[in-house]
Amino acid sequence: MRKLWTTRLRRHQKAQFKYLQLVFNDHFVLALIILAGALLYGYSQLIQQLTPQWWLRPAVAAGLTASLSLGQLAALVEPADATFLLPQTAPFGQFLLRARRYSLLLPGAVLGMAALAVMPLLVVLHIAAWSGTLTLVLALWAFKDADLWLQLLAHYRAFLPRWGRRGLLMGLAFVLLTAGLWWHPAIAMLGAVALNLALRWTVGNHFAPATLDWLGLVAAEDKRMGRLYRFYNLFTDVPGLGGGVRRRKWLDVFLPLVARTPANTWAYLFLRGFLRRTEFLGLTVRLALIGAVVLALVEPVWLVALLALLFVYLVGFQLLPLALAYQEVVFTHLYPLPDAQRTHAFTQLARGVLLLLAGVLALGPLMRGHWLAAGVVLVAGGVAAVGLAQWYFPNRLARPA
Amino acid sequence: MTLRLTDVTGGYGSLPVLKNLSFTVPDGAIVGLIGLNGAGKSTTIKHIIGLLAPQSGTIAIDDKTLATDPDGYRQAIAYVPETPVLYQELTLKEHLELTMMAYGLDQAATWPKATAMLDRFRLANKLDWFPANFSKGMKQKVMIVAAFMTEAPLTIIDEPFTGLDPLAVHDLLDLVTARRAAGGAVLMSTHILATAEQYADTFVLLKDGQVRATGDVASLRAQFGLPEASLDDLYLVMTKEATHA
Repeated sequence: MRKLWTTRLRRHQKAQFKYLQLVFNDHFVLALIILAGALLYGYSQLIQQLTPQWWLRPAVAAGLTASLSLGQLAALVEPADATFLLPQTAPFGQFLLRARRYSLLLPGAVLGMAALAVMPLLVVLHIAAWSGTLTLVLALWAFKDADLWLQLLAHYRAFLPRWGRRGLLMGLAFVLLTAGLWWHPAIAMLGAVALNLALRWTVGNHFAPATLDWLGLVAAEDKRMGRLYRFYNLFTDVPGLGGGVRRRKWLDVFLPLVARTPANTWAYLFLRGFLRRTEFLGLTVRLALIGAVVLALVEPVWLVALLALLFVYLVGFQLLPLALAYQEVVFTHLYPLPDAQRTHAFTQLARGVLLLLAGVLALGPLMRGHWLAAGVVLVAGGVAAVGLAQWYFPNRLARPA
Repeated sequence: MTLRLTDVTGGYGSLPVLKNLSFTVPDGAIVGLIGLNGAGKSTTIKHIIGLLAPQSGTIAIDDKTLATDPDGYRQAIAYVPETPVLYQELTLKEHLELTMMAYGLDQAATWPKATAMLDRFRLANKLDWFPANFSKGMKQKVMIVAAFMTEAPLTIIDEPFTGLDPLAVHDLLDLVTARRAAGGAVLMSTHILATAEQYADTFVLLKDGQVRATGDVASLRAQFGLPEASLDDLYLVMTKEATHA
């Protein structure tokens, strides 16, 4: 099990490193540094104006609880394990214990930084900065440790006590952190450590490795990796990223947009793919809303134009996998249809979606009465949409994938 | 309509799996493609439907090839794959609709035929289901309905009987013989030799990517010099040859 874990971990880290390299390319790092600088500056300005009001403590505790909920059990389990390692279920507990320990690292670092970020707020709340931060970090780590125990035990369902739920833990963490910010974070630390020890003690009584819920574990790990890859997919192509499908019957009102004629065969397929696959419509709507809000808040016209271009480009890039989504369905290659129809149908759909997106983005500035900015968004977004659909996509699809 | 393979050599990458393969599938006939795992049955079918391109030799339906008339060639073929593959975001009804659109079929004229087949396969009440909710056998039936609905001159079926219940096997064989009666050609790869012997008119026996023998059972018996043998016996003789070679 130890060898299995180390080889899995090495392979996992190698793959993640490869993707992270692609995500954090030069331009993105530059943008991040500027963004981080702006955020820190804004934060320092904000802190100088803050006074300890009644809502500040629960708000900070809520923020910390939210960061506490980040970070899931990285089980590194593969679907085939449920069949091949089934006879090894009991020893596999050792594998999962290692996985749990490994899963502590990243959230631990994040929580450490969160505590450091809260340090100036402790001063505002008249709490000793160093002792406060130190005890706060320990409290957060103890909570996270307990949280990951719960996540692990969730896959040993039969022995998980009824109160062993993440929601309850997060609620307790919120209450204890609020209390800690009222007097001293040492209270939160003591509570967290007590909770952690109580949990470990019960775990010691209940841990029965033979009752592992393999299918649940595999499904959870699949979901976690899927989320991770979808995030990477925002920046680069992730091969073999398969999303799910939802029926979304209420979207069937859009289906008559494509007439059912042989010339529209591909359009028929792409429209349904866009509406029902989980990876396209949701992302488009989310980015459209975020984009509209961001554009409503931004003032300089050149920045507005740049952001509109960026959002349309981002969404357009996300749509591209749809054009290649049907490669593995053999009928895609057998239908007596000219290849040009596929590219044409896809660019048409993409142009429609992106123009609609530009319209939604323009609504953001329009709500605040920024007529000029709205016009700029419409023009820049429209140019990007038409440019992508008329020029970039046909070229990209002509290249062999 | 006749499918004609002439001296086809091909495979994955540069390594040839098929070596100088030649046989024909004529109108109004059921041809059984028989061979061990790895003999090249699925590879042959992939070449015919155009997923793989031959390194040398020609594959033609009448005088149409994939190079000269790709749409006309594809129009002539209906295909049921070994492993059912469906579009995960299309309902059963939409799969059939898409197939009708792709083959340019008249929807009003085709739906009654499709509905009759769906009734027969007990799928008529599942028109709004997604493939994710289908069992493997049900998916296979969807592919069968889609393929036979097109009434393409050549129907290619890869390992049709695995995963189907006995009732569905029976129904499929009815459809296959009906296609033959209507003048269609059927190429069927299978391991179920008893069924193949009962239904197919001629056989193509593949061994190591080459045609070992072709013809009906009588001519196969003559070629192997075993006058009383069943297809099963002939198959066993052929596999022994394979291990000696």
